[in-house]
Amino acid sequence: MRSNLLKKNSITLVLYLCLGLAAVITIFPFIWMFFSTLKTEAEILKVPLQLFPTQFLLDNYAYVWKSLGIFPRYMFNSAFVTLSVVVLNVFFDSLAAFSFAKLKFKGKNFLFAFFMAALLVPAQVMYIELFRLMQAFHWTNTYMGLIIPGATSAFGIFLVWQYMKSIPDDFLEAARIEGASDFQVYWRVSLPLSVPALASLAIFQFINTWNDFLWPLIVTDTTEMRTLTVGIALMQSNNVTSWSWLMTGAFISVVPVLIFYIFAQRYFISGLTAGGIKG
Amino acid sequence: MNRVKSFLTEIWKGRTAYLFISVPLVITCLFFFYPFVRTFFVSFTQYDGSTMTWVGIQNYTDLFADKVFVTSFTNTISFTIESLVLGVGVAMTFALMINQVKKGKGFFRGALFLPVVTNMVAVSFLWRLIYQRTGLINGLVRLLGGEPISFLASPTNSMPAVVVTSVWQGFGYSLVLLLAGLESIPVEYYEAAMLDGANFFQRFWYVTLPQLRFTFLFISITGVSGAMMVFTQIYNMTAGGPSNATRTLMYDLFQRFIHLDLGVADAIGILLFVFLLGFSILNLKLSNRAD
Repeated sequence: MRSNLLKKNSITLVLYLCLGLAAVITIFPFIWMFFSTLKTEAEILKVPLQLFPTQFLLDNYAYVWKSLGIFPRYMFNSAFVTLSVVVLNVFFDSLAAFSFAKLKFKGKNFLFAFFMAALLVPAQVMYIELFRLMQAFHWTNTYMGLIIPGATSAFGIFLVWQYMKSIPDDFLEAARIEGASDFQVYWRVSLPLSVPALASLAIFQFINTWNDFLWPLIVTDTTEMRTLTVGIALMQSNNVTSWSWLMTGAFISVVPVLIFYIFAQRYFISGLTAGGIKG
Repeated sequence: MNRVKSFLTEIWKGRTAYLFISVPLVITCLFFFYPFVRTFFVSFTQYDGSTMTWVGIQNYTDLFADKVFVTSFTNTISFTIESLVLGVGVAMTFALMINQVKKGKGFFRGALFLPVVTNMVAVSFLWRLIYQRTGLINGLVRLLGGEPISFLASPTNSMPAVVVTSVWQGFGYSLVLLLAGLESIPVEYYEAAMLDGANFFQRFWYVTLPQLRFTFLFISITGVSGAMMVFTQIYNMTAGGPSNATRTLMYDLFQRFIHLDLGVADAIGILLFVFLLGFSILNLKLSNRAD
């Protein structure tokens, strides 16, 4: 009995040790990144390694923010594009989802299948032709080109549709009897009841747009229009090889997401894995 | 005449719904299906952005005779297999562990998921620093008395190094899905297996794995399509090198795009699409037969 208990306790201890090590491996590199932003170049490349900088210098931030590219502009571009994509998706995807879940109309199944077919094509395979189309629209290197192709998504429609179809029709009928129009039923009844699905969609789009790299790389071509990810990626081709500046740029791009993540971790996890977990 | 009229009445009745779906419909047609169809069409032409000549399937036959493309293709396949096997293995190991502990579940789940929310450009730079001769890993190697290892500059080590970075960034995603799957397996199944005298490994093999088959199906479909599209870490860590050792299909496509070899680049896009569609259909068929 006693040895059984001992065995159980030591298994638990080993489990915690393994999990603790795993957590160190996922978190520590970001701590390393943070301290690198406070170091001089010589300190970063020093052997043996040192975690803490000898002096806490903010020079790297000052330099990257003021002199390299135009960081405040990258920050604004990323924030503006991300916010627009999130708002447009939440509104238009949920409006379409409401139609598919709660309205009767001819060709409904066909149109729904049409949207779902879009889920079978990875968007990247046709980015070249999308770029050619943006050229024809004179939308290259503009916010339109960064935002509009991603303003709605088949995935978003699917996600909200799944949720809205479980809302009992009685709720909607009650509003209709009081004379509400279809839009009012959507806006006043269906939307407030779908907040969890909308939150998932918003987080999903936030992370994917903020972190997106290939499309903003293709569709923008001047420093003024770059987003953060593209801006820091191009730091090195602009002959910035200093690790302290690269880490500072990288850290600036990661921090806003990390702050949100720390406060709303549960919502991030459920938002990003929505679609993969049933129910 | 009457049928046309009743058809039009039906359409008129649905006008609000059509209005509600109009914006996503226009955007999907214009910015998704149109470029896709055009990609398919242009892949049969030679096109530099101004003059277009029909060449039939020549782009495709040329591609398979092109050493750089074939290398990109095999690199992409090995990246996909390695990152998926390693990623699912690591995710499953830690999902099982987290499922066993009572305290701190949320913390470990959150900590292991953390890299998933961070952008791949920053992660690529971070790992380039870690892989340096004077970086974290070689610091550990020195501590253990070894010689510093060359990672990204070595043709043999660069691909495994990129795989490790990708798995580090992405395994938390599969972990969360697997953990949710594990938590939804009814305890009674394990109790019944224990009554039948099943040991730990038998319970894992006969209860846990079969119960997770839909999770595995989902992870393999999304994982393969994500891995086949690998681009950002290649662009930012190795630029396809050294000597094309990490050049992948999307990187090859991008290079041909900036050199205005648009017909061939589109052909690569179509091949990727066909491959992924075939894989998804095969996977769904196999899982249907298994049921």
